[in-house]
Amino acid sequence: MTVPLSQLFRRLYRAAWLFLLALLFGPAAVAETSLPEDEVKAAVVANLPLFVRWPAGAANAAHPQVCVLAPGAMEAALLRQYREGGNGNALDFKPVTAVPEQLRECAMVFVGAGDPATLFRAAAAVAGRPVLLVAEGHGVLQRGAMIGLAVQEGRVVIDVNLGALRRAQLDASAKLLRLARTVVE
Amino acid sequence: MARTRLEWWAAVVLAALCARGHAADAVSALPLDELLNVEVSGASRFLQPLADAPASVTVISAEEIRRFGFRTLGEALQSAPGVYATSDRDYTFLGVRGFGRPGDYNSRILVLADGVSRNDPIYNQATVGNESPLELDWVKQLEFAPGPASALYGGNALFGTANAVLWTGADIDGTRLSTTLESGRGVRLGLLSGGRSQPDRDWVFGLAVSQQDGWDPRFREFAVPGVSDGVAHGLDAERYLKAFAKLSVGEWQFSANLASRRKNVPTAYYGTPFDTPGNYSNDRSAYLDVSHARSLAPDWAQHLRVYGGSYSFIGQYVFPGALNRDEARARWWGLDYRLSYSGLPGHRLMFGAEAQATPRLDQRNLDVSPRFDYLDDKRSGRSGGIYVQDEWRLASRWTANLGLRLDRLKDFATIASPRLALIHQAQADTVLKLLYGRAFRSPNAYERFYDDGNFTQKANPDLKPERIATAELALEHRLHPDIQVGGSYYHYRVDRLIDQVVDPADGLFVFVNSSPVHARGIELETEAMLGAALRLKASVAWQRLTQPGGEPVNSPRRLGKLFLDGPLFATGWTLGLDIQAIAARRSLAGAVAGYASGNLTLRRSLPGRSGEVSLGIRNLAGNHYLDPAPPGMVQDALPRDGRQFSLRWDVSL
Repeated sequence: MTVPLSQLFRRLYRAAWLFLLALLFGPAAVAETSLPEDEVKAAVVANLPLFVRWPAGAANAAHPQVCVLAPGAMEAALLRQYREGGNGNALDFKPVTAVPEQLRECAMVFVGAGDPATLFRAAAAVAGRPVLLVAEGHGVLQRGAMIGLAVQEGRVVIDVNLGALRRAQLDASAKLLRLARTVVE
Repeated sequence: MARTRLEWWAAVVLAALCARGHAADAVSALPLDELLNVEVSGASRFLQPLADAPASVTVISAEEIRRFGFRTLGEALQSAPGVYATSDRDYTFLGVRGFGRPGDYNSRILVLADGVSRNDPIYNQATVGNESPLELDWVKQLEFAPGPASALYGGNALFGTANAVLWTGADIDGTRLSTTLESGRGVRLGLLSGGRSQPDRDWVFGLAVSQQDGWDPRFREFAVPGVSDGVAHGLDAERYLKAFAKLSVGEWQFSANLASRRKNVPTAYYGTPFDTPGNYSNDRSAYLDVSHARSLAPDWAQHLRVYGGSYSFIGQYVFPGALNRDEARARWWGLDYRLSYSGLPGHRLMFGAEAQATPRLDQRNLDVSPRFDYLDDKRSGRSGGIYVQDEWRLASRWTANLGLRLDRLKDFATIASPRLALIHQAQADTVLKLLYGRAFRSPNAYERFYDDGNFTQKANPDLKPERIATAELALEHRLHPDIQVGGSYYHYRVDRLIDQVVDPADGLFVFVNSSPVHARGIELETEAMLGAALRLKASVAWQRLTQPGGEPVNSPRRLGKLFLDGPLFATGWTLGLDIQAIAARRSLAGAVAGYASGNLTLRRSLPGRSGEVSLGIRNLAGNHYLDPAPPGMVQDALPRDGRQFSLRWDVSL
């Protein structure tokens, strides 16, 4: 068993290195320019309110705020997005550090990647209120996020938890659901 | 020379203070459908975060690290279910799911920084205390996945993998300074600086220095009336200097990490006289890494990394009439290549190949004066591995993760490490995982070739790699918006476990492949909101190891953890309280009692731009508690630190 496996291994190993050299020094097939992940994600987040309808008369819709719980590059990128006011977004921006009581005034809450504790805290704080909870990373819908942002094969993808949106009395547009990678109930 | 060095540091600090820049914003005008088609750059494009691994992963964010005042990787990792840390007042050791063999330098745990292995090749040590070249302040997010991961990473990933995701320049966007004063008569200073000057140019630099006088620990074994009070006076000092830098330019990324740490050892180990200065451990490491990531076609992407590292250890032991030293030096370099393909519907394929050469693996033991060499062992090593992984969406609610890695190691037969995981998203808030995996660890140079002239320890070049096979069933469920629960049941079987024993023929310590060991356990975890603002996280673990020869050493049957955090009324302070309990354990010669220990951290922002301040109390009740001692000591158990206070100030410039 040992001998054939090690011969196979040797052959595969050689083939793998040849393949590698060919790829590394071969021409790049794609010459598109790519943009920093956080900038693209921030622009996606800034766009989301255009595809969600808040219930009429919701207290937080009168002076809507976007609250950000994402220390680091995402927070800076979102600040820039809102400061520059692209996409005709009508929401004000208010950066909030993780204190749940302050989230009650927000129309939308964004939780950055890699912080399950903050996401859990935020989900509990906004439960039952018309607050759009958006989070970054894989598996965030399961922890209460209504819209999840992730990167798959070099592109930002969005996942939507329709059940959570409905419980928050929020309506997602058909276009958003069409653009989503997955929609769960 | 000294002046040049000073000027260099001054230039670095000045550059850090002056540099601030923002990436150009080219995306704000795009509509959503076009945004979702923009190709993004960044690490997640090519590296699989550990958080996506098919396992029950614990993720600890920088915010949580600050809330609970964790100081080292080990303290933070200990918050994961089933993990416990011990210390011999020299190094920190992590036990996972009941496995915490004394004398094992964390060689069965893999520590990654930004997805790259950082265990050294001589001891395979995963450093998690102050001895780690990675400072916890540099970590944006710490991930821990229990169970085997050799299918992806090769050797050492037996009981768990920890990945430290380090801050990027865009995250820092400026300069942060921190100062910590500790009641262990110590001070720590940290600097973290970074920025992104153009969309594809990102840099970050971190520096940390610490000096502690430490404590005067008392060992009852050395308390002899009229001779000694059992207190080791002024022998516990530790100092370190650590630096790291990361630079990304387009498709290229460069990173470097340097660390030097010296710890005086007060335990009178290996028969050195008690309460005598001069015994210390000195660890130095350097690591460099260049990587290149590129898209080859719409569905193909590749990532190539070339790395090199060096590690040196000096252990000094003062004997009457002789100054003895252990010296170990390792140098290694390697290549790692990954190719991912997403062209097949429902599949995400990754192929990888890795090769590492270790031209230098030296171990010496000598008396400095009068000079006598007991050991002068020079080795070299090489290893290589190829692997394939597929994330396969079987159906809308079912995902399979299949992986296989073949490793070839010098002196040993090829080893295959498979991993199979089936993940079922039962509902939006329920996930069920079934995991099977095999992993291995080859004996390291220390275990095979170290001897100290056959005074206390002898070599065993015939050691074979140890293997582990594991099966685990895990469930995560969101019971209510305020309550999340999770649980897992696992069964491990370790064959040829490498264990340090005393050879009855000559009374010397030697590493041997021992009989199979089985481990079974259950871990339960819950997270709940108490009222509007307090978050509670609690976990319990029952674990049982069975092996011939009775109860294993340093293997507690039960662990309990409780973490509470949130605002402290309306005072502006945030509270972080943790209580951790560990059941009684067998030690090498007897037993140590179980204990519960608490830590408290209070934190608040200061007005204006004055930063924030935090006050920490470790070992809240000031309890006297013990950890089982490793081999080579008179003591059977070692005391942990008493109550400690710390004051930390963080400011952003």
